[in-house]
Amino acid sequence: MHPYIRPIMLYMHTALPAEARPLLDHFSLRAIQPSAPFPLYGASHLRLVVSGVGRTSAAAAIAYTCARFADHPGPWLNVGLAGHASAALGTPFIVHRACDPTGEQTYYPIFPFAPPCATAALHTVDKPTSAYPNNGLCDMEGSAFLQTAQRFVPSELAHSLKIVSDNEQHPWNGMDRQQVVAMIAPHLHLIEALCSTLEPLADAWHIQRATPAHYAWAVERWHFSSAQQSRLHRLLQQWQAVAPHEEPWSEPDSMQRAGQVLDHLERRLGDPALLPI
Amino acid sequence: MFDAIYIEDEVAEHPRTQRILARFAGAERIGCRRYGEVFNRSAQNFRLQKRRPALILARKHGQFVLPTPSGYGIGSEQNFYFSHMLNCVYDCRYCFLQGMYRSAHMVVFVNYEDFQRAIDEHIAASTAMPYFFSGYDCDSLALEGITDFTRDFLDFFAARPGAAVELRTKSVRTATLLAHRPLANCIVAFSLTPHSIAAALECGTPSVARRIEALEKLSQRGWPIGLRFDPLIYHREWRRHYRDLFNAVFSRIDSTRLHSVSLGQFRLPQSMYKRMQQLYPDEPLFAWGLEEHRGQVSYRRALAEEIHAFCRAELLRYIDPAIFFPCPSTTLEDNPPS
Repeated sequence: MHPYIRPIMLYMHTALPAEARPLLDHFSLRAIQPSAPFPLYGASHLRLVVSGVGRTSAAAAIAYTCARFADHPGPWLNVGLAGHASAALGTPFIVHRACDPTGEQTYYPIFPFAPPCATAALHTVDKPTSAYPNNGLCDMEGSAFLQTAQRFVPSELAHSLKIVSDNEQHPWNGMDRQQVVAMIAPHLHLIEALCSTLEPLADAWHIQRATPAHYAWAVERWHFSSAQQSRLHRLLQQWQAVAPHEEPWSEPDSMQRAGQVLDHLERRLGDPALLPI
Repeated sequence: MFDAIYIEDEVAEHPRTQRILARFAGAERIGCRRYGEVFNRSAQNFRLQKRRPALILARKHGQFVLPTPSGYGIGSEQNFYFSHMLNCVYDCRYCFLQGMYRSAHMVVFVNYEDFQRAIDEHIAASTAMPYFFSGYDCDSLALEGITDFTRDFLDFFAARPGAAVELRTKSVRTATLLAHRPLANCIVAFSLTPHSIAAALECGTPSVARRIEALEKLSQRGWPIGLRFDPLIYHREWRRHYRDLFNAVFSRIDSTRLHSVSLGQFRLPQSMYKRMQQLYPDEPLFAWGLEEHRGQVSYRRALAEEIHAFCRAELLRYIDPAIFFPCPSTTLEDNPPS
């Protein structure tokens, strides 16, 4: 692992408690927060939030969770049931496009990996419907999940796994808790595969976001303006890329002003002795 | 090669779309209204996407042909570029496309006929022989097996001897060219770097040896060849490596049959450089020996002068200065080396 990134935290979202149940059992998640504003569960590197039904609830739950764990951003996975005109009950799909109920807003999760099952378009609606879209899935949260999650992580790191719960031959007629659990449980291996796939992607993303070594020490020691802090951040990233095992300032005690500190570092980044490639 | 293909509704029935789709029968097809819905979204990460880019088939609107930036040319005063594709299948760490686009997906604009119409308009309006560069936002040949770009445009330029086209590439997909009669107004230009740099920074490209082999075959067949030593990369043993590269090329190529040779510094607009450095903060190439000057990031002046002067002198041992087109970096612009 890159020395300056933290272990990846992975986030899951379901609308219904029954959709969460097999995940809680499989990943041994314990309640962090039993109810208001949203039931939240966790294990060491995994969090799961249950939002309730509908776009507003989903968006609020994702935003709430992201804000609460802002120091540990990570990939998001939505798991839930959806309708489909023709696919067999129990068929899993990963969403490759999600439209909101107006059809105006469209979201495209990006797959920098081979999806572990078939993919499909998703139409999110505000009220339950028996009119299935052509060759697509139908749910009540998906577009809001992607819209909100993509505000916190890149679209490569927010995905939605849907299990077909109803179709034209077997329209939605309500489901009890056991039936929902029975729909989700056979696909835990897919969820595990997705989690394993997302982790290295999140690693690469974290490298981009990591605070470089020596940064915290330097801002404690010298006074940098806001613009100087940005420059310091960039120069220390560069230093880390060029000479990760060397101290950036050979004689820090001899430098009083932030400008001197930055100029010194910039000069060293052209030192022929440090030519990296 | 592509497991997912986004298709703009507007081009779903275009014959070229249909031909391309027929080559990817197993690929997931995802419809979209405009390619920008997928390609231009802000919540994307080029570095992550580059691991497995998708193909986007779209229609180009607006300006099909644009003037090249100043200093970009190989002898003509009228230089234009056109981009039937955006992005590249290769992953060269120094490439400005990483900083220019949010997405690493490959966009192919299937309406070649509109590009050709626009090129005709520019030819008609030109007072000198216009040059059209096709490999500005992409590699001209790398997707030839999918796009048939060369096949379509060779015949087009064959009928327009008053204009020239440059195909800029690192690809060795030269079968279409070798099967076609050579055109005096079509320059096949290969980008070349020393082997060690190609191995370190040009992920997915054919080896330099294979590129030299390909350009040798094309030259022997009678195609005008361009050599593009661009960008020059300052690295350990750069003198020996560039000398070896020039020697490897000119021991195989008859330099009297070359169309042009150009030399370009590693240079990036500052905004693109910043994005690239943010994508790859761990990349030494973006960290050592650089400075910003007039909105461009390039090697510091002394380094830029040193590598430029050396390579220039070495190249001029092999070639006629009349076909040499250096492109100095902005750090050398105030007082360019002769």
